[in-house]
This record gives sequence, C-alpha cells and structure tokens, in this order.
Amino acid sequence: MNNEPYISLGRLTKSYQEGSVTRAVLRDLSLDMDEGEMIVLLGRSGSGKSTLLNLISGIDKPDTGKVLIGGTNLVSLNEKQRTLFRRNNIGFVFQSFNLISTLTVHENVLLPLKLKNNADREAFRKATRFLEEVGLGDRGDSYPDRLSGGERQRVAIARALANEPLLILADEPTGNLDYKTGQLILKMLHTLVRKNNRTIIIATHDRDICQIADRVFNLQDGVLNEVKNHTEITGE
Amino acid sequence: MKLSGWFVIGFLTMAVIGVIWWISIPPEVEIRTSLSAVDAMSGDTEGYLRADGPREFVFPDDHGAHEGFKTEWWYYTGNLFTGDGRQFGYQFTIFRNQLNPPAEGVDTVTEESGWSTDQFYLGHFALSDVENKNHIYEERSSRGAIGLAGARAVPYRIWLEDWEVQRVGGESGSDPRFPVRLKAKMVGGAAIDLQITPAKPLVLQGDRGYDQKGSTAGNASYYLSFTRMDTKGTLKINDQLFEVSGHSWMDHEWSTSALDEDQKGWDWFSIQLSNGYDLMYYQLRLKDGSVSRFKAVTLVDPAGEKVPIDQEDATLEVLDHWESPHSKSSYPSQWKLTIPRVDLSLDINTVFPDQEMDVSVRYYEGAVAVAGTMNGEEISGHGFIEMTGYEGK
Amino acid sequence: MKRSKTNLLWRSSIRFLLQHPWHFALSILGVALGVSMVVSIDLSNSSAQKAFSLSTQAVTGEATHQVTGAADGLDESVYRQLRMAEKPLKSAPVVEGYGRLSVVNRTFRILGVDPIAEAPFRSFASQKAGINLSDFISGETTGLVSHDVASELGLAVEDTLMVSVSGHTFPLRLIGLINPDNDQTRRALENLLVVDIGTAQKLLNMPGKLSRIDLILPENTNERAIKNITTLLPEGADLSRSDSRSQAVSQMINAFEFNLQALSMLALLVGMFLIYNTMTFSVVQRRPLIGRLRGIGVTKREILRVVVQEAILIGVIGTAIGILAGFFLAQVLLKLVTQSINDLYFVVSVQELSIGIYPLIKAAVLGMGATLLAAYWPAREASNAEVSTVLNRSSSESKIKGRIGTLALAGIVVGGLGGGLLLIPNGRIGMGYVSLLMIIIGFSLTIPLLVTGLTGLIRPVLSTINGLIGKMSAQGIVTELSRTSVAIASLVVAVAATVGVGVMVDSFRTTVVSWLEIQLQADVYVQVPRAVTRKADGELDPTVVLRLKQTDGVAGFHTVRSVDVHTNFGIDQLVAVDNEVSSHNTYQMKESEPGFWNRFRNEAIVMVSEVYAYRHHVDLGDSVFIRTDRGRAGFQVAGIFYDYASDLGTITISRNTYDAYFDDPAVSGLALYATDGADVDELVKRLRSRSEGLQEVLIQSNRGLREASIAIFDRTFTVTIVLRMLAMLVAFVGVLSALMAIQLERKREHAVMRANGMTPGQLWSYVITQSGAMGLIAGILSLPLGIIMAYILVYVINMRSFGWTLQLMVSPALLMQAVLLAFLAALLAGIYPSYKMAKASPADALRNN
Repeated sequence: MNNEPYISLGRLTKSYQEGSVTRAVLRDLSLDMDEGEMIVLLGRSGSGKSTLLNLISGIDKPDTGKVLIGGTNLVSLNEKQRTLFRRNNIGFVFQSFNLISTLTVHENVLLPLKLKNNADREAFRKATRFLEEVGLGDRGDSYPDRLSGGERQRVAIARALANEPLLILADEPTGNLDYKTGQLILKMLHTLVRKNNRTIIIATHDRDICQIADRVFNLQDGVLNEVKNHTEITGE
Repeated sequence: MKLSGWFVIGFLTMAVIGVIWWISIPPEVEIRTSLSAVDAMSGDTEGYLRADGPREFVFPDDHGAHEGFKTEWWYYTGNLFTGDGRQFGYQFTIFRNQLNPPAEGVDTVTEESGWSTDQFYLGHFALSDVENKNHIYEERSSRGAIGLAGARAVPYRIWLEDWEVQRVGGESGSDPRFPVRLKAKMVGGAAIDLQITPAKPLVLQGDRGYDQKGSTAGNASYYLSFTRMDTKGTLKINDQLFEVSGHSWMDHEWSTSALDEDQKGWDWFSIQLSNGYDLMYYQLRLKDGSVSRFKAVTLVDPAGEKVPIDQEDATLEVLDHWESPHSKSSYPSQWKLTIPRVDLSLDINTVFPDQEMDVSVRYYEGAVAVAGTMNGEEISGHGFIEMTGYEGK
Repeated sequence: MKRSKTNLLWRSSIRFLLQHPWHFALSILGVALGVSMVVSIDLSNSSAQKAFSLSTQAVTGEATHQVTGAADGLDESVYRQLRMAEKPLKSAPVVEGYGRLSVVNRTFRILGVDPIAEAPFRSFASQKAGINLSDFISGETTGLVSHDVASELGLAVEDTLMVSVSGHTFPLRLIGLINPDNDQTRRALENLLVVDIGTAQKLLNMPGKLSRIDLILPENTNERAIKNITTLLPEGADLSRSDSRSQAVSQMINAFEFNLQALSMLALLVGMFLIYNTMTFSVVQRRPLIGRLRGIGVTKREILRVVVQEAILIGVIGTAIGILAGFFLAQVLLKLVTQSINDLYFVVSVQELSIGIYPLIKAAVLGMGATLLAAYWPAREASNAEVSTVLNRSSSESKIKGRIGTLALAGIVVGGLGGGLLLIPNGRIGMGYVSLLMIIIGFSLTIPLLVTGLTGLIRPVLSTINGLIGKMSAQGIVTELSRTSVAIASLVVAVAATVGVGVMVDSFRTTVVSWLEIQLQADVYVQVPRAVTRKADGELDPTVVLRLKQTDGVAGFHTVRSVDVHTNFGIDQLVAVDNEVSSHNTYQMKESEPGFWNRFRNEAIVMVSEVYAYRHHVDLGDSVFIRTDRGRAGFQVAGIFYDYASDLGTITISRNTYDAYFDDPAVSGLALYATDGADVDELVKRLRSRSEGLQEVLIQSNRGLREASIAIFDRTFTVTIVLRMLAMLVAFVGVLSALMAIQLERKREHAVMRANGMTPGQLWSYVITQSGAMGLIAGILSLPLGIIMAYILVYVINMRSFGWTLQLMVSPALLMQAVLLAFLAALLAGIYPSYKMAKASPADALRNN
C-alpha cells in the first residue's frame, strides 16, 4: 500500500462535443498525490479545472485513463457506486458555497454525515464540533441565506471536514469573497486541513493560495505543469 | 423509509378503508309498517245487523253468506277411519268477516273495481293423525272479491281460493240434505277430498236457531248444524293417500257480537255417539275462570229430533290438563260430562293432546274419544272439542 | 439511522414546498379539481342508481318471478286462476304507475297491492304490518306513505291528498304511515304511495287489469315446474325473473352515466396535466439544489424517492380536498342528474347523496394514481439532474430543442394510432375513449413544435406592437420551451375539452331542432300529462278524443298509441300510428324497403328508430318478436327512421296492425290538422275549452310543443353543460396556475432585467405580453384538438353509446369563447407575478441561493 500513491490520476483524457466540433479539455493528464498533501491547481477560466475536479470526484467519467483514490479506481465504478464513493470519501468546498438553502447551517453540516450513516448522536456532535472549529457554533439554527459569504464558506468548510473525507476538493473557495475574507477563509482552510491531516486539491486562479500549498500545478491546454517557483507566478 | 414503505402505508390505508366499508354496510332489514291498527275482528259493532231474536230461515238462501253481520263461519269437523281402522280427525272452516258496517243494510262498496270489498275471508284447515299423534294445520285468507273467496247459497259453495265446499249433484235441486264435496290442500301436500252427505236433517240450535250467548241484547248468534253427516273420500298426509270414511259435523253460525264484556272464552263439544245420538255442549267461561250461566246443550236423537233438555241439566267436570309447549297455555284434556236427566255419563279424552291451532287467533280444536253409558247402556263416540280463551293461563 | 437521513432530505423538500406556497397550492388544486369532478359525478350517479335500486327493491320485495301481460297489462282473472290452481303458490297482484301529489307537485310511484297476499313479498304493505283492511280495501280512495314523506310534506294521518294521474285528480285519504326502521328502507320508500289494488286500478284507469303478478318460487324450482305455471297463463302473458325487469331499466341509464363518467375522467386528465405541469416546475426550479445534493453524494434513487414522496403528499392532500369538494359538488350535480334521469327514463326520487365507499376508493386511487403518474417524469428528470457545482440550465433546454422533432413524430404516430382505432368496425365505446385519449396525447406531443412555429409567427407581430419587449416576450417562450410547452399543452387539452363538449352539445341541439321541424307536421298536439317524459303511460279519454276531433276548424287528425311491450330484446316502446297517409310525411326514413308505406298499413311489418336498430343490431328484413294479446308474433323490420326523442329506440307499427294484435283501443296522443287559413292559437283555445272538465290534457300548438321539446332537451343537457363549465373552470385554473408558475419561476430573470434598467411598467408589460402570447397560442392550438374531440364525441362516442346520427355543428362563437378563455386566464395569470416583481427590490431576487 505504501508504495502506491494515495491518489493517482493516470493518463486522463476528456473531450466535449460542441456542435460538430470536438474540444479536448484534458489530454493524457497524470498526477500522483500523497496523503496529507495540499495541492493547488491554477488555470484560467475554461482551462478545464472544474472538469478535472468532476473526474476526481466521480461526478463525471473520463474518456480514457484511471482515477485511483485510496486504492479505488473510480473509472471502473458505475454511477451509483461513484455517488456512494463520493458521499463517503470526498468533501467539497465550492466557489458558490452550494449550501442547501432549505436546511439550516447545522443540518447542512449534518447531511453528509447522515448520508454516510453515522450514528445520530455522534453525527450531531461532530457537526457541532466542526461548526465551532469554523467559529459558527452559535449560528447552527440559521438558514444559509442569513449568513454572509464568508460565513457560508466557513459552513461549507465545516461540512467538507466533518465528513472526514479521503480527499477535499475546493473549487475557487475564495472566488465569491472579498480579498480580506478570502484570506481569512484560506487561513482557516489551511489550519483545519493540516490539523485534521486531510488531503486537499484547491482549484483557483488566486495565486495567493500558492503560498500555503505543498505543490502547485498549472492546467493549460489540457495538460498539468508543476510550478516550482510560485513567487514568479505570483509576481506576474 | 424505503419507497416500498410508502406503498405499504398506502396499501394499509386502503385495507383499513375497505374493512370499515364492510363493517359499515348495514344488514338487510325487513321493512316494517306500524299503523294505528284496529283489529279487523273486533271493534265497533255500530251499524251492523244484530242477532236480536228468533227469525224465519229461508233455505237454501240461509246456507250462504249473511252480509251485514260482522262474523260468520262454516265449520266442518269430523273423525275419519281407514279400512283397517286408522283414525284421522279433520277440521275445515271458512270464516267471513265484514270490515265496514253496511250502509242502510247494503254493502258500502262501490263497484269501481272488482277488488274493492268489505268481505274478508279466513280459512283454517287441520288434520289430526291419531296414530302418529301428529296435528298439522294451515291458515289462509283473502278478500271476498274477484272470485277469490266467497259463500254462495245457490248452488251452495263456500270457498277460499282452492279450498272449497261445493254442492254436488242436482245443484239447483230442493233437497234440504244435499251432498257436498269438500276439497282442501295444504302447501305441504296434505289434503282431503270428501263427499259429505247429511244423515239427519238440519238442526236449529238454541231457540229455533237463535242462540243467546250474553246478557246484553244482541249478544247472540244464529246457529245451524248438521250434526251427523256420512263422509267418504280420500285423505292425503305425508304423501300417503288413504281411503277414509266416517262422520262429519257442520256448524254454520253468524253474528255481530256474541260475547259479553266479562266472557273470556268457551269449551265447545260436538259428539256423535255410537247409539245414534248426537250431542252438542258448550259453556262460556268468565274472566275470573268460572263458568258463565250461558251454556247450551243439544241432544239429537237418531231420527234427527232434538231431545228436550235444559242447559242446567248438564254438568261438565275437568279431570286433567295439558300444557301446550307452543303457547304455554294449559288446556283441559279430560272431562266427565253428565246429563242425569237422560241418564247420560260420558268420559271424554282428547285423542292426543297437542291439537292446538297456532294461527292468527290461537285456539284448540281437537278430536276427542268418548266412552260412557246412556240409559245404562255402554256407549262410545267420537267428536271434537273447541276451546278458546286459555291464553296466559 | 436510515430514517433520520431521509428525514433530512424530506425536511428539505417540505421546506422547499412551504417556501413556494403558490406552486404547492396549485399542484394540490390540480389534483383536487380532477378528483372532485370524478367524485361528484360518481357520487351523483351512484346515488341515483342506489335510489333506483332501493325503490325497485322495495317494490319488488321478495318476489323471485313475475307474470306480465302483453301491452296493456294483465287480466286480473289470471291472478284468480293462479290462486285457484292445484299447486299452492305464493303470489301477489300488483298494479303500478305514476301520479303526482298536486300540492307538492312531486311524482310518486303508485303501488297497488293486496295487503292480504303481501306478507311474503313486501312486509311493509302487508296486512300483518297493521294496515287497517276496513279502510284500505273497501273501495274508498285511501293510501299510505312513509313517515318521512309525511313529515317532509307536513301530512298527518286522516289528511286528504290530491293525487293526479293522467289528467284526472282524485282525493285520497291518508290512513297510515309506513315506519321504516332503518335508513335504507326509509330511502326506498321516499316516493312510494301504497294503495289497495282496487284503488290503484281506479287511479290508474286499469279496470280488471294488473300490472303484474309477483311470485315467489322456491329456489330449486325446475324448468318443468315453471312450464307448468306457464300453461296456466293466457296468450301474451309471460313468466320471467323479477330482477330481469329492473336490470333492463337500469341498463337504460348506463350509457347516460357512462358519458358523464367519461366527462369526469376528462377532467381528471386535465388535472393530470396540471399536476405534471406543477411537479415539473417544482423540479426544474430546484435543479441547482438537487445538483448540489447530488454533488454531496445523494444518490439518484434518494432524489427520486424524495420527489415521489412529495408527489404522494400532494396527491394525498389534493385527493382529500378533492373528495371533500366532490361531496359539495355532488349535491348540486345530483339534482341535475336526477332531473335528467327522471325526464328520460323513470321516476327516481333522490333526496340525498348515498356515500358509497367505492366512489371514494376509486377517487383515491385515481387521485393518487394520476398524481404519481404525472409526477413520474418530473421525478425521473429530477434524479437525472446534472450533478452540479455551478448553476447550469441551458443543457436541458438544448435537450428538448433537439427533441421537438422526435416528440412531434411520436405524437403523430400515437395520434395516428388513436385515429386508426376508430376505423375498427363495431368498436366499443371504451375503445372510442381510448382513441380519444391517444389523440389527445399525440397532439400534446406535437405541441413543442407547434409552439416554436407559432411563436415564430407571432414574434414579428409582438415586436410591432410592443417593440423590443414584445420580441423578448416571444423569444422567452421558445428559450424555455421545456416548461412553456408543458404549460401550453395542459391548457390546450383543458380548453379543447370544453370546445369538444360544447360542439357536441351544439351539434346535438341543432340536429334535434331541425328534426323537430319535420317531425311536427300537424298543427295541434294533444297529450296526457305524463310523469316521465319519455315513458308511455296515460291514455286519452275516448270522449275527449271524440270531442276534439269534432271541433270546428279541425280538418284532419291522426292518433298515436304508445305502450311498453315485451320483445325478444326486452321491454321496448311500441308506437302505433293511424292515418298513415298524413303521418308518413313526419317520418324521415334512413332506410326502407321498396313500397314501404303501401305495405305498412296492412302487413305485419314495423319500422324501428335508428337508435333501436343500432342498439339491437337490427337491419332491414330482420324480425322483431313482440308479445301480443295473440301470443308471440314476429314483425319484419321494413324501415328505419330518424328519431331523437328516445335514446332507447322505438318500434312503430300501423294502428291497423296494432289493433289486430292487441285488445287495446286506447289512444295516447292526438295530432290535429287545422283547416286551411285557420288561426291555430284560436283553435287551441277552442280545443282547450271543449276538453275542460273531462280530463286534464296538454293541448299545444306545433310551436308550443316544439318549444317544450327543446326545453326538455336543454334540461336534460343541463348536467352536461354544468360539467362543461366545470371543465372550463379547471382549464381556467390550469392556465392561471401554469403561467403564473412560469412567471414566478422567472423571478430571478426578471430581477436581472429590473437591475438592467427595466422599469416596473416595462416588466409588467413584458410579463403580461408573454403570458398573453402563451394563452393565445394555447387558445389557438386548442381549436383543432377541440374540433377533433367533438368529431369523435359526435360520430364515435355518441354513435356507439346511443346510435344517433348527428350533424356536426361548429359555431364560431364557441371557438372564440375558447380562445378568449385561454387568453383572459393567461392575462390574469400574468398580473400577480408582475405585480409582485414590480414591487419587490430586484436585489432580493438577485441574491445568491
């Protein structure tokens, strides 16, 4: 087991049909990750970041290649199995927060735990604990639309972490936030991920994030390039 | 909960609704009517003709119906024997009831429809199978209209649907002792078909056929009897057909009101003795159980003449009782009848106890066997006893 | 644990529904309206049926068999013979008919019995029940009614009632009350007047006759025993099972009720479209939400389950409300249904609803079934929603756009199959409805294509009228085709249903009116007032006939005799006409054998109405066997004529032939021809005064009778018209709800427009224009479908259930009405959303989540 990488993407290709034109989004893309690693994925809009995240989370399937997470090849799973895998092993932090508007903050955190069939009491405690960790212990009964953007993203982080996933995927987590709040969220995300020893991939075009990452990749023309010197890029 | 759980809930709901439905279906109940009912048999006597004194009878007309009087009956009873001595008793009665008083002595019914009538007929037919101690009976009724029932003098015919007594042979003849054919059949199949010929002339009971039964004026009837009639024919019971012969007795009586207020019922004997004499005896009983002063005895000699005797001359003693399992009424079942004046002493027994008529009006009509002495001579006889007013005893 | 997980999803669903009360309420309304229509029709039908069977049961009592006569009843001597017969037999004579209690003007069934013979049959009418024979059978006109009738009409024992039968009025002394001891019997006796058999003969003018003799034969009675009884009967009399008659009678109204039921099913179908529509909205609106849930790892199945649960919730609430509303609606419909049945078939008094469990179960099953069926596709769509991380709508729109051609093709195939079904000869009514349904579905499937096409047509018009906003409005319909086409389809079906039924009733009426023109050739018609419009009872007094014929100004006449006879097909109406020369113009022949009118008078031939021929599959040359006073006789069918007066059909025979077979000199109706140039109204007055004091008869001029006939026709169709109005209401609510849902759903889009500088007034105009355009499109599209539906209703359904040839009559006013209905409802639907949007701050709607 130890010899195998924790996460391994092998030669992924994915293309979309747009009218009569086929557009390749990912070309022969490979990536290995270790447990506890924090990776940042840079790329312009439309570069395929979201597509890549969809493949990693099993929302979508690649045309060819494999997605190995903790020893499971998602490509060989059917839709339902992938959904169950996602439910159990992947946590999300989205740009648009994607909280369920009809559930309270606490219930939002609780939902993935319930889906995972955690014991009621334990799930409840866990949800409360992670809400407290993101500093929203007193807002559990509010509905998402009562919260500010930053607060919503904190709920989303609590939701992702509470699930104790193998992998957290964060898609532009600061995209909808002002700079200051964004920094605060990043800091929190960083602290909590490290503290809970979670593996995380952050897709962003916010180069500030690179500073906290273990490795940084740039997705361009469907191919990943590791960026060794973030400052160079940051400095752009 | 699983999807199937929801369907189970749905199914159960339907099932519960279904069960409630079944439970809620009301049981079929008979439609009943309740009316301010007045019994057709009783009620006001106002406006009816009354038996208020002896009158001249005109025959054959007086064998028919006397409309205008409230009540009338033709009562045939008899004891019949097969060739090997097996005994049967029979009773065949047609009652006529007038429903409304006649307007100025005529029928009120306007003839717009043949169905409208004031005449209501009731028939009773019973057989006593002595050997099997089996008493079967049937009642039927009809309005006296469109030929369903009636009582016609010329030619004599008393009928209620297919039960009938009809004069046979020389239908318009003037023979006062004309033979009749009596036919009746029960739903169960038991039937009689008898040829009945009077062996003695008609007896006018009481005072020339006027029979006072109560102290109130008009509480009386007109009462005629054929006390001994030769009877021959067939009798069918339990799908067995018997050739039978014996003697019959016929009472024809009509009145509007016969009983006094305090009179409750009667015991009425009709007996044919082996020495050729026939005896009719009745006593009315009061509500307190005692015997009223109104009783009657008629002894007819072999030639058909009434032997003059006074009602005070006869004594009736009850020796035993029988309790009806149907009505719980207690009826006398054994008597001693003595008429010292003619040196007559009779022991009378029902041929078997259960001959109660459990019909719209409950009474006892049963064959009796008689043994005793008359003028020191051993005699025997057969007859009928009718008892009413024993309910609730 | 599993439970609590579902609870969280379920909680989310419920909160969503509560946050969108309009959608929620409209879904429920859709179910409730459909269900209430079905429930109310079912309840009123079953109440009428129940009342009929209860009263039949009460009147039939325990009888197993009956002896009936040929045409004019049975001679009472038959009863005497039966009673006198060797074998003791349980039998009871019955004289039956209808009369009115003048004070309350209510029709009662007059049941004449012999209480002495009644005990085994009808205990309530028997001597044992305590009927005072002295009052009852002695010839005085006395009778009994039930306790309830008495208290309802304020009657007491010893009161005198005025009973009017066939124009004669009799005082009747009430001598007792029937005291039913349970609800069922109480209702069975609701319109029963029990009299003595002699009294009944007098009231109904049947001296020496009986309507029938009831018998109770033991269950094991064999053929031979029955034959033995039959040998006692005279020619023309017949022994039959007691239930055969009530079966024959109740079969009469089956077609009538079936049609009402079909209308209610149509309403449910429209209701289903509404449910589909609102469920689809509820899902589409939540697509992002569902996407997020899917993203978190909620499986398709779990989504499907939650949506189905919502549908169940809506179904349960909607069904419950629908059933409740159905009760109230049924109270109204009951009167109309009863009225129609009384006019058409027999007298039935239905004073209250009988709430059977069967209609309720049926409604529950239909309501839930329709909801689940309608929700199935939306639920599937929900579970197939994109697992989304970002808002993404256009994909589903592009899907339907790519499929409109396929859908339309499928629609044409389904509709074509439906049409093909109609071509199958001798198809059943049910088949007609199946094909109707298939055509409706087929048409709905082509609607996306038609909407796209029509929008293309009206876009330039709208842009001319309302500039850019008009153009945008039109474009909005196409860009959100997946929702707009569903909404429009449901409107089309709803409105088309009202068009179809409307055209059918119009066609019917027009046909009947023009038929009456030809049918009514004489100048004056004389009839006996009848309790049941199309039932042959009542006779004209011979002296009246004689007097009227000899009135000044009468140039000619012909008489009509109409009786119920037993034929090889059951109980049918036989009409005997005399003076064939003058009467033959009034018959429009559909088919006849050569020289028919020459042979009609003297040969044993008959003509039958078109309906009769259809119902009994009788053709020219076939024979109809009729029980006559000369025994069973065959009559060759030599002509088939058009007749819209009876939906059961009639057999017409010449009076000459009738007299040869029946000992019945009576006359039911008299048609008089005025001398040339005479004033018909004057003649009518003269005739009326001449008949005064003899018998109360209806003397009407040609025009008067025509108007009266049309009035009866209209009254019969009141229930249909009410149903059509209800269908219109459903359609209206449908338009309203569908379009309102669309506009409410576009809150965000509207907010964007507001934010981009659209004034509230412009937004208002935008929404109203779009809504109105959709209403207009729906209205226009409903016309062809409506006319197709009318065509099927007139030429297939009507033909198969009644057998009438009708002329299809499409009135432009009706079509205008339909378009207007859709358009107005659509405009109204736009008002609330635009009002709400104009008031709201765009910022609120723009806020995320």
